[in-house]
Parts: sequence; structure tokens; C-alpha cells
Amino acid sequence: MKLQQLLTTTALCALTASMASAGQLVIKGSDTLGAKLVPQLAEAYKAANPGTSFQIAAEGSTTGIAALIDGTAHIGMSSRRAKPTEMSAASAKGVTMKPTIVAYDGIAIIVNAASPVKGLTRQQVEKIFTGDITDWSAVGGKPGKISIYTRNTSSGTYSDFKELAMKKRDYAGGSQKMAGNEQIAAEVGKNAGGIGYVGLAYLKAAGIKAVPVDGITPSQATVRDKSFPYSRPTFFYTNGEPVGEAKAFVDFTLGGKGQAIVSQVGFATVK
Amino acid sequence: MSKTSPLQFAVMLTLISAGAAISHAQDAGALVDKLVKKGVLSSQEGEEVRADMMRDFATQTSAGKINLSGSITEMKLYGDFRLRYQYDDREAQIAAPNHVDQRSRWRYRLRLGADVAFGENWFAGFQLQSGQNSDSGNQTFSNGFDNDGIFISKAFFGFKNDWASVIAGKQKNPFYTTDMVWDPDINPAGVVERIDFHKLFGRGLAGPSGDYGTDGKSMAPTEVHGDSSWELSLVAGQLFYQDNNEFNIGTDFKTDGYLFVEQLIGTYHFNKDVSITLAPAWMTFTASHLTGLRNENSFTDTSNVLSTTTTQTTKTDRNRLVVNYDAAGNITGGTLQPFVVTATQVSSPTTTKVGGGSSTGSTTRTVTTDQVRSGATVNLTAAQAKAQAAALGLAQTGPANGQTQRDIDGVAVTTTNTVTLPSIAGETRKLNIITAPGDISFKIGSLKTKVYWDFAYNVDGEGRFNDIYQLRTGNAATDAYRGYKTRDGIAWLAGVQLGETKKKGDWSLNFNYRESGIASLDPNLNDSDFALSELNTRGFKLSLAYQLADVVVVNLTGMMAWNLDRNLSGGRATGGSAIAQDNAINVVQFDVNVKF
Repeated sequence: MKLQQLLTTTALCALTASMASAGQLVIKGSDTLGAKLVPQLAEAYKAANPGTSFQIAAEGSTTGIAALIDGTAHIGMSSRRAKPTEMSAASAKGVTMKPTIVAYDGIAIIVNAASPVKGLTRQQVEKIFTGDITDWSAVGGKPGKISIYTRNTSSGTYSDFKELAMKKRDYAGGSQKMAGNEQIAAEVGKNAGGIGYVGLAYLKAAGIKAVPVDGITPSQATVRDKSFPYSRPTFFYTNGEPVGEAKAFVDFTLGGKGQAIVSQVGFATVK
Repeated sequence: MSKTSPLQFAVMLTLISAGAAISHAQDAGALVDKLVKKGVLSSQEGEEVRADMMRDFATQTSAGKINLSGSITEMKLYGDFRLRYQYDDREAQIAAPNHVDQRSRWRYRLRLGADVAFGENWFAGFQLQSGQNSDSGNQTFSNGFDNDGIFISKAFFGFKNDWASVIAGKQKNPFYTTDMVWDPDINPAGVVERIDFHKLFGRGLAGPSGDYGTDGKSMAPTEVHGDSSWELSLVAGQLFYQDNNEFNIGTDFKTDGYLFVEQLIGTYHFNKDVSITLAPAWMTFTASHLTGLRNENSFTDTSNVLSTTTTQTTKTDRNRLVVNYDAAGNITGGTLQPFVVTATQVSSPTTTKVGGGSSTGSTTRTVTTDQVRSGATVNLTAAQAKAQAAALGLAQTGPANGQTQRDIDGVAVTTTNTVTLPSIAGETRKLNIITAPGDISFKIGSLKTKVYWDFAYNVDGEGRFNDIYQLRTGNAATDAYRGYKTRDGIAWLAGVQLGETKKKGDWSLNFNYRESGIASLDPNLNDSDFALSELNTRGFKLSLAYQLADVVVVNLTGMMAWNLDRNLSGGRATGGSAIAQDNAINVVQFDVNVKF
């Protein structure tokens, strides 16, 4: 190991130890995981392990991976896999990116509850989000402009959706970027011409409905058996094998109680 | 690498040793998915294997360390290097009888480029190449091991969909053509649109079609079924050729030069081995003077004035005498008023022309006399005024209470001024060309064979011949002008190609014959190798190629050319370095090409 890496690793270990010694688990990253699932997991974990505190920041998968590399988080939540450049950046700082699948999620297409659209094909989804189709009449809806709501660029869902649903094409120029799933659901619920995407956990929001894609309705079952086309694993990233409080929390998440919460929130369990 | 189970480690080794090298770790993701699906690995184990391979890819390979912009979805780097030995000799025109001029050179050409795609529709690219600011890319090895320059030979962006494309910038030649009309090394600049009608109206019309490359050019069909099929495309180019300043009022360089090309490319596949392609086109140039063009034998407009010498007479110290008279008509006094004359007359302008000779008085110019009072008026007494009047021959009496005035010339000074005008490398005037290239492709046994041709007719050829070239027969000083012949406005080529070089061991033979009338083509666009781009030529080109390795091709080419009309002289095309200065031109090239 080079001297620079050795010093960096030492500094990170010291920082991590100081965070752990304070009894606080720092978790940063994905809004998909961090808005609902992880806070509920944390509450349940705290109930079973009094004295543990959590600092949770859900600002997008990119921020979680960056925080893990910088040593400012014990766990990086991510709804996408780490990129090669993130892997190399981590290695340069002596951090070994270890992914752990904690749940499966489906990226559901949502429209306003009043919309007559009963389903879309994958090709129609691609054309809507890339701007090839701009009017609802082209896909069986009432004539009117389509308003597109997406996540912002630091979101793992933003890039995952491009890869899963858009053949990596760019989003339509007029699409509006939202900070989180809840904001997308809220906007689509208010806009009769709105369309967006959210994780399974956010399908109960008012004023929206999920549309089947190629006839497959997004659900825990169709996500788990991967028949829903926009299914993906979600991750906790740690620096190597998790240790200490982080290991205990990861084990708790993968355990029976944790997976029950996973299912209760709306994600598909890992088993 | 993180802690890895024996099974995961074995899977990794298997993936790598099976040919999925670390550099292909991203592709191995599909294999991991398959192993997970078959239950060989759990999902978690699959993710760990994937992460380990991604980490190795990112940290142990050069490619993994390249961080491309997020907007780039595909990037292709390419290049080639060519080492060339060239010998050429030229037999000059009788009017400039230097007889045989021989030359040999060691040259090279290096090209490095990148094509990038931004999603499905947008793309861009650039290419850098050697070449002494030339469109050929050839760089003669420098003396004393000096370093050589590099230039931008492509820079473009474009938009494409399934059946059309638009590309703007300096780009690969988009037209179906031969080197009789377009030098393959020229990358024209401008905007080019292409519509593939067979794709627009469905693949059923044309059979399976190739996709666009990232440089926007339609690729060859990926496969042609046994059934016959059509392809039909329209290519239109608005090309930028010469930038002159529109505000250079009063000079010849005040209009820009543009080249507009429209071409219809039709191919009919009789079956997968036999096809015919016809590609009629229309090329029209806006009239403009050219400068700084890059072909070896640029078109030098020899009738244009290189310099104008004028003789100008200026008289200085000029005075005006005014004499006053009394009621009896006798001189009572007067004044002497000094003036300076800045210019009086321009006479005998002499022009010198590029093609030699000069003429006097071919232009006339009127120069306004401009007199300016300088210094104080001198009052004269009656005696002084009488003396001045007597000296100038004026009478001693005059009109009662009147005045008489007479100018007194000072010293005449003659000066000579020479004004040098910018040189001109050609004119795009009267170039409206119909071209009709094509080919018939088939196989002789397993040998791919192609019979090909090209044809060009400048519908304004007679005007270009008479207005610009003004050729004589044999002696520029004494012979009459040689009249325009139909073949002066026509160029044609016919050839055959046997074989092609695509992989190690391949060979090809290419032979063609061509004739190029002096007013048929733009001499700045045609091939700079054959006849060194001169016009009024005919001759053969024979090329043999053999592929030593998948990336190495050796090529031997010989070109013999001689004049369509021997001993043309005078006018604007036959002077030194002009486009018809020789009676014979022979060129031999030996190339070694490495592509990567």
C-alpha cells in the first residue's frame, strides 16, 4: 500500500471510529431508501438497541457513495450500482466498496388518478420521457400536453431509469426535476397531464395511479420475480465488510424484522 | 478485493480466463446475471462478484480510469499512419521548356480522430492530421529531424434519425464520387443533409439497411437477401469554399465562394453479389476569386494584375498672379498668391501580369487637381506688377477697374508608384458541373469485382475556357487563340477493381483510364496525385495492394498522364505552377499503411 493510501486509510479509520464511538450511525445517500425505509428500520433498531442514534441524510445515491468514499458516513445508501469511476476513486482513498442488497425496488410509472390511460408499452414510456411523444392523445389519453416529472441528476433512480427505460437516451428538454419521490407523486397528483416515476413505496400517495407496463403491474411480487421491466436491487455500501454498529444494522435489515419492514414499506424483500 | 468466497473467486477466474478479460468486466455483468438466474450464485454473491470485477476494471486497466462526460454514450477512437515514397517527373510545356523536372520524396501521413455519440440522435467528431496545412495530409520528412505540425482535418456535429441526417462542420466527403472529381483527402466544410428514402418508406422497399455511423454517413447494408432490392438516397451539401470580405469595395475579392452539390444515389441489388449504383449530381459554384488553396498545383489566375506602376507628375510652388487696373486700364498693382498642388495628372499606367508581359495605358484615371493655399499673399507695387505681367507675356493695360490673373507653374516633380495587388489562386466562375459516377459490382468466382466510372460535364465550359484560360497553340506571343473544343468541358473515367483488402492475405488490383478537359473540373478539388492535379490531361492509374496483416496494407501505385492537347501555351492556365503547365506527368508511389 502506498504511503498516501496508508495515511488516508488511517485517517478514515480514525474518523469512522470517532463516529462509532459517539454511538451514532451515519447513513447517507438514496432518497428512495432514505425517505421511508431506512428511518423505519432505524426506529425499529433503536427500539431493540437503546442508546444508538442515527444521522440519516437522503439526498441521492451519488451523495451516499461520495460520503462513504470521503469517510463521512458508515453506510452509503444507493439505488444503483457504483460506477467504475467511483470504484477507482474509492480505491485511491483506500476504501473498498462492498455492496449489500437490502431490498428490491420497482420504478413504477405514475399518472394522475383521473387519467384515462390504462397502460403503456415500454416503447411508449421511452418515447414519452425522451420527448418523442408530447401529447396524451398519442397513447390513448385525452388530448393535452404531457408534463414529465423526473428525479434530479444526483439520484440513482434518475440514471437507473435512463438505463432501464430509455435506452440511455436523454430526458425530454422540458422535463421537471424533483428532489424526491414524494415531490414527484405530489406534482403528478396535482397535474392532470402529469407523468413521473417513483419507487413502489410511494404508490399510495394521493391523486396518482401506477400504470401497467407491457401489461405488468408494478408490485412486490412482479418486482421480486423480475417480470416487471423496471426492477432493480437497492444497496447498502460499506467500506469492506461492515463492522461494529454498521454490521449490526445491516444484519438487522437483512433479518426477519428488517425484511418485514422492507415489505411493509412497499419494497420487495431480498429472499 | 474484498473478502471473497472460494465459489466467487472461482467464478471470477472462470470469467476472466474464458476470455472476458478485465477490460471487459462490464460485459461480464451479463454472465453474472445468468449465473444468478441459474442459481449458481445468489443475488448477493453476484453483486459482490460484479463489484470486485468492476473495481479491478476501474483500478487495473487504463480504460477504467477514463472518465468520459456523462453525455457521451459512445466513443470511437481511430487513426492511421502511412509511410510513402513518391517519385514524379514532369515534362514542361514548350512555352516554358525546362523539359523534365524530376523529384523524389519520403513522406508520411498521420491521422487521429474521434467520433462520439450523444444518445441515439446527436453526434460529433474531430480528426487531427499531419500535412503542412494541406488537404492531402502528406508531410514530407523535415530536414535536420525538425518536428512537424498537426492540423484539424475534421470538426463537425450532427443529428440523425432512422432515415435522415444533418451534419454541420468540416466533415468526411459525403458524396458518392471518384478521385477524378474529388480528392479522397479533402474533407469539405459546410452543411450536408441526407435522406434515405428506402428507410423513410420502410425496409420492405430496400431490404435490410445499415445504420448510420457516428460520423453520420449511411453505412453499407448489413446484409442483402437473395431477393432484389432498391436503395435510394438524396445528399445535398451547402459547402463553404472561400471567404472574401464583402466590404472590399472596388476590389475583385468581395464575394464569398460557395459550392452547392445535390446528388441522388440509387443502388439496385440484383442479388447479394450483384448490384448497380448510379449517382447523378449537380455541382455549382458561386463566382469568387480564390486565395490560399492547398493543392500542389493551384489554379493561378495568370491574367490578373500582379502590380500596377503609375507615373505621377506633381508640381509644387505654384503661384497665382493677380493684376489690378485703374479706370484708364493701367496697372496699379497686384498680388502674388502661393499654392501647393498635391497632384496634377496620372499618366501612362503600366500593368504587369502573372503570365508575363506588360501593357501600357490599359487603364486611365482622372485625378482631380487639388490646390491648397499656402502662405501669405504678397502685395505687389505697380512696378512689380508690371514686371511680373511682362514676364508672363501679359499686356500692360487691361479692363478699366478690372483684374487679370495668371497661374505661374513651379517645379514639376515626377514620381513612380507601384501598387501590388493580392495574388489569386483561382476562380470559381463558370463552373456548373453535371457528374454521373456509378459502378457495377459482382463476383468472379469468389473474387469481388467492380467496374466503375465517372463523368463530368461543365455546362459553362466554353465560357470558362474563353473568359478565364485564353489558351493559345504553341507560342503565347504570336499564335492565335485556340478555340474551345467540346472535350475541354468534359472529363470521364472508366476502371475496374479486382479484390479488396479487408483482412490479412487479401489483395486488390485497381486500374482506370481518364481524360480531364481543361474547363471540365475545379482543379482545386480533383486528386492531387494523378497528374499532380493538372487538367488537360489523360492517362492511366494502376494500383496493387496486399494486406500483410489485419492492420497493415502495402500499396504500389503508378500514374502516367499526358496532355489532351499538346503544347498549349499562354493564357491563364499554362504558366509556372498553373494547372496545365506540363505535357506529361508520371507519378510512382509506394505506401505502407497501418490502421488502428
